[in-house]
Amino acid sequence: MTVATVDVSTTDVLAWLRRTRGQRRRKLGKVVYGVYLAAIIIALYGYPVFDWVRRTLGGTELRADTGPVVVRSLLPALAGLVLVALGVFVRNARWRGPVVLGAADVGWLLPLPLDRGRVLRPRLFTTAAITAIAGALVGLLGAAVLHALRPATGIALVVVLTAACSLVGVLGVSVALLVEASPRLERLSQRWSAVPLLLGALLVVVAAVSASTGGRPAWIDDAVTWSGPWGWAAYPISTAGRADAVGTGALVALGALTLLTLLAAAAAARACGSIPTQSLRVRARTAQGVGAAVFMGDARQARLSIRASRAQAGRARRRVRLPGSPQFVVMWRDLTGVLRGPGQLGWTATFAFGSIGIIAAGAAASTDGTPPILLIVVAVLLGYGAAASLVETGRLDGDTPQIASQLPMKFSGIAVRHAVVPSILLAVIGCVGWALGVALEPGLGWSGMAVVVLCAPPLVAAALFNAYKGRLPLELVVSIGDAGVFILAGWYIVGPVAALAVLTPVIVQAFNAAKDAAGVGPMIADVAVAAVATTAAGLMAVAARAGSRVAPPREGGLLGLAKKG
Amino acid sequence: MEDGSDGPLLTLVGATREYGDVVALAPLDLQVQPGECLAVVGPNGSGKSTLLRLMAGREIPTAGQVTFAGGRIDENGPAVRERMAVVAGPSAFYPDLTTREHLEFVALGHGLPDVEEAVDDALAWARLTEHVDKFPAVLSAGQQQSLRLAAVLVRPRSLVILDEPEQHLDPAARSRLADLLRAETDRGVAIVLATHQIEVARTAADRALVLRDGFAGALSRDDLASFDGDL
Repeated sequence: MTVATVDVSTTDVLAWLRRTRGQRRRKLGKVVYGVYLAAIIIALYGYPVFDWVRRTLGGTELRADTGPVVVRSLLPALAGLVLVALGVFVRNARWRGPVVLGAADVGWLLPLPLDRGRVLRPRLFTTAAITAIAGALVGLLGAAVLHALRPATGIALVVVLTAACSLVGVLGVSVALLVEASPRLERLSQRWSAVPLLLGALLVVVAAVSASTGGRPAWIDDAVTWSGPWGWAAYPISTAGRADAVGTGALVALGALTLLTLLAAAAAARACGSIPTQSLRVRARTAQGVGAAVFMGDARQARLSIRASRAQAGRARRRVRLPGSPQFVVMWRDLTGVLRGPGQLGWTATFAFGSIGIIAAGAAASTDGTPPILLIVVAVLLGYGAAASLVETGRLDGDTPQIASQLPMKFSGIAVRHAVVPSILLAVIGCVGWALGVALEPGLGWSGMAVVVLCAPPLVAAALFNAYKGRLPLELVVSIGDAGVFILAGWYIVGPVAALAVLTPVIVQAFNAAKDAAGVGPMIADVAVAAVATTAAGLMAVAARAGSRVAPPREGGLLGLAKKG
Repeated sequence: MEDGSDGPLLTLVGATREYGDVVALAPLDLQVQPGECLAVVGPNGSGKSTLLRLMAGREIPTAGQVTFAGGRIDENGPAVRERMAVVAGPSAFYPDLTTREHLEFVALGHGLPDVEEAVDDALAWARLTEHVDKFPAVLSAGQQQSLRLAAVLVRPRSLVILDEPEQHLDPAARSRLADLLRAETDRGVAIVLATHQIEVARTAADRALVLRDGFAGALSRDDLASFDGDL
């Protein structure tokens, strides 16, 4: 069989498509409308924010006393933020990527024998241009902050900083395209993409610590600066305050960043033509799903769409040993979930340590040893976040009850069992966090650890209650008119609000009771009674909600539409 | 698995399902005996899935009643869950459990004495032994359907409800499915099977219920052999 050679002009086909669909006119209209909206938003909100930043940071005290220290800490902070931004570009490339086609283009345009590079490159360039502009705006904002902190900062630094941020945007898009085009890089990014995020966070912590302690060894700055493009992008900021020039070092760093960005952009432009069709198909489907979910205000569905696009390939190497009794099947399932998604523990630790840190800092700063109520509220919300990170398996059951429905237990009973493993894990992580807190600030005392342990079950119950809300009902969005946004907000925040309502008074009472002469024993007993009562009430609510998720409908389907087999 | 009772396993008395003005299932009287395989056939929109949802307790009839082993159907009740296996509706899997772990989850939850052996046998039946450590999302549609059917094998059952079980299966897997259905009824398990494939119904069913616009007609095994209606 002979295959006919094709000589199709990609430019002609694309031009015909644009003409026929009136795409150019519509696109131009969209661009004009977008620019108009952006101008309005910047005019209405941008300048006041800019002015507020200038006025807030421009106080004499900050400039004279702490300004130089803060400016110096900006180098690792900015390098960390750039590293985080690059990590986010790579992570997003795994489900979206800089080049996303519509479903119709995937179905009709891609199968044609066209030069795929010429089809896809304009999309890459558009994304890169938008990102470069966004980067430049961020750079300008940063320069405004710098100017407020160090009025002597010259215009040269403003230019260099703006250019550096813009280049970082283009570099991020280019790297993301390379990930999108290469299954091997995609696999690597799946394994390692958390590393830049963690390192970036570490650099931000270094910046915060050095800002509070007043300095750090110079070799840290050198190491950060010349460790990669994040350091090159951040280096010019260390010259803030000089009116004359940004210095040779900064120019060298900017030159290196420019060169790397150009190389990456060239590689990305070349790789455009080799993006696998399957990759484009999955991204088109995911982007469509996420867009629809975001439009409906359904964050959970958006997350599930992204997760579905990252279907776990390969094989599971580690397993949790089967328990001996069916009574432990849900715990086994929860432990397996943690094993397969260890990031849950990382988020839990982050939230829990943050919560304990806020309580500790608030207690240390107050005169009577009780943190301000606002800090307690923030700490409880962070504690709720820690618990919510651990109930993913319950959330999956709430999304699709039919899997767990195969077990010979009531669905409500399964929901309640989902509280056991997260409560234990949260209590253990909380204890570790408290122990670290006591090590840093001995005044905290060990009795607080008991309170941390006792707070874990009610927090998990509140998180599970939210987890079993299931998917956002369409009725809620389409039939509630002007009150929709409030009902939608209520749909999401009922769990955190329940946690706040229950635990804030308990913690306030605990701090008050700890000051009494009676000692910590009665305080812990009081907290234990409150924790048991609220956990029991919370789990009853979870059971009722889970039961309602599987209750057979008596009436017609959604919005009265007929449902037939 | 023997039911242990003499009467019918599943009974519908005047069971009706309406959605507003639309009659999805007209009043239906039906009994399913232990060890019997009932096929439910009919074109799209005829009410097959509605009937199966009523039988599984996933919907409540707007009139009449459905009973399982003499008691009211409650899908959420342990009695029904312990004895009724249902493969219907869109497939759903845990994204973080492997093929093997899905079966272990069901087997362990039902307290099978030898979970490993039961799971190994079910995996072998489903031809998934090579894929035990894979996640279901990377299995083909046919393999996913085989996994759903294999989950029936790792749990106790006296009634199995299957909605188009032949979907996505290749001819060899369909043949294994037919053998399995016969083996199940030989063990006293009752089967209700909705299908578009008249061949599947002919091979496995003792009798059939033909649905058209919610109204049912009965076919014996002999009727099925000569039935050439539009499905």
